[in-house]
Amino acid sequence: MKRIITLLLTVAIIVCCFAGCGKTENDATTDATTEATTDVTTEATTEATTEATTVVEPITVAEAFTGDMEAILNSIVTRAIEIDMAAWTEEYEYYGIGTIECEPTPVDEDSCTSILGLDTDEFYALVDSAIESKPLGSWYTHSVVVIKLKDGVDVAETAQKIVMNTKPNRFGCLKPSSIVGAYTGNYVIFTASDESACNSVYSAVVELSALEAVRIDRENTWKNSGGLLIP
Amino acid sequence: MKIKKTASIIFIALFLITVFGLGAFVVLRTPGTVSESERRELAAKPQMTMKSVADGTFFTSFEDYLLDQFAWRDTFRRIKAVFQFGVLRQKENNGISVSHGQAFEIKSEMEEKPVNVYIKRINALADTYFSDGGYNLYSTVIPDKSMYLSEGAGIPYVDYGPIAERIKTETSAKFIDIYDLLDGNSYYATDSHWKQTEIVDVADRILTEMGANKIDGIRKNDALAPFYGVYYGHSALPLPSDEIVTLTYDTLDAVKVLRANKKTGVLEDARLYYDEYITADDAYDVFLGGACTVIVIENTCNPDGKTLYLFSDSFGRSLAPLLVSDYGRVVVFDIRYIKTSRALETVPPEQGSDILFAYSISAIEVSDNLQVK
Repeated sequence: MKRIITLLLTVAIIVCCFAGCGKTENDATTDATTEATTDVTTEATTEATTEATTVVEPITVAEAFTGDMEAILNSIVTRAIEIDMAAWTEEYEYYGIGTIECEPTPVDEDSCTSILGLDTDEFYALVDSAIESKPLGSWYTHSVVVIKLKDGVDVAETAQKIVMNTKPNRFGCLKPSSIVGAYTGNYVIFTASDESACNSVYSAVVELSALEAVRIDRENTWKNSGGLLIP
Repeated sequence: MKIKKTASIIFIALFLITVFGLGAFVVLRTPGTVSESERRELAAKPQMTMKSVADGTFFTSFEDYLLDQFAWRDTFRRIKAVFQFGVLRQKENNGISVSHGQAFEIKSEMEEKPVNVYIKRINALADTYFSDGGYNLYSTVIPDKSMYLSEGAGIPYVDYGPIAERIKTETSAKFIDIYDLLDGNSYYATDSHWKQTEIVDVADRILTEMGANKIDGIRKNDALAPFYGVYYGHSALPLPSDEIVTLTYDTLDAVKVLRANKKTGVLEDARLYYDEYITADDAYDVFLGGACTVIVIENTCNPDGKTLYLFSDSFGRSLAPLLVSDYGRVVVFDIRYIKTSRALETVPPEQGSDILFAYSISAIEVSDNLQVK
């Protein structure tokens, strides 16, 4: 009996070890994106440096969205508001992204560090264009950002970097309760707001994008900086 | 022999309770929604779906949930913090250090970019809105308390003097230096903000530099307690609580206060001090009711006096009441939350007014959120 228990516990520990060391990335999506973008970079670089005479066929990457950045942002925000309002279950009057007047503002070299967590050089190297929707005249901590990355950029890696490095303290003393991002095609979309708004924007992105969207959740450590039980 | 067996059973039982019991407790108990000490929402129990299990997001979320809802979480955080400071003799926990009973955030040298952007924004404000019309422009910088507490505390010392010097020389506003009027005790022991009772000299110097009369006859209101500031939860240390003492004087007794509505932006009746907010998540909201885009303090004793437009952050909310003096009104703009053009539509600028830019180091660190347009 003792031997059986010992054996079972040993097996359980080994299984737990494997589970604990498991990789959690979405490999399929990451690889697909990386493959496509790496090829573009390699070919572009080769062409420039060796002055190849052969014509390189451009790789066609399907677009996740169509239209200009402001139109894309507006469509995501509009749909997110519909989703957010439909999901409202509180007894009191709806209060969320649908009640706050927001306005799009381009992200530029001045704001790229706090909004995107990128320094100026990275911003110019990685980002084609970026735009933020934020409250026009309210201290509601809410921001939706749409970023179009340049061709050849590792979208998965850059999306992860942006979502993890955007500064929660850019709203001042007030801070958002959630930060949720997604990447799809060569677009990165992330929301810093309350949990409901973040989920609504993510759902809108999934619905509106022509390509698969991969979600990125950022752990809320900006109000505690980690404690005993937080890695 | 029997005692040995009983001891073994107790030991095994304790082991199993520790390993499985605490975990089971988290799953079975009603989950909390907010960590008051950390001022944040706790992770909610994730929905188990085929998709979330398959892509692994369920387990990631469930892990966050278990971490946040762990039994006696605050107690464990406190034990860790006390052990770190008291036994390991480390100088910080969660980025917070303590010196002379004052908790403060360990800061690193500020990069040039936010200062460059701040200077650019202040100059743009001055050029766009206040270049014509006889406006008098002033600026000051509110230092972080770490400047007064980090020196000799065994952690990196950060001097904000060079930042003030750059703002002084590179902006068109007349700079008012207040660094020498503050020290570690000017701030709450458990919070990043300064105490209103300790900035009367600061207000006097600013008023004097702007050509206004100093305030006199200041009285203290009843202390509001306990006040646990932002560093109390961050440090997880058993620090003694603070108390908030607000100030008043004859002029303030008769002022009329208006605050912009969060949804509509319309100015509504308000008060200088909201004593009841001492129990709120952020008790510093006692001053002028907390964050707001536009706040107006009208001096009914001197309705024809000049207007002071104060561009500031949360520090400005405790400073503003001390600047009313002989001004007709003080208008507080927080352009982190509103475009300047829109703020000035709410309260149009009066020619010949005084304009004061008073931002803290924390605000300058993310100065790109100052909305100049």
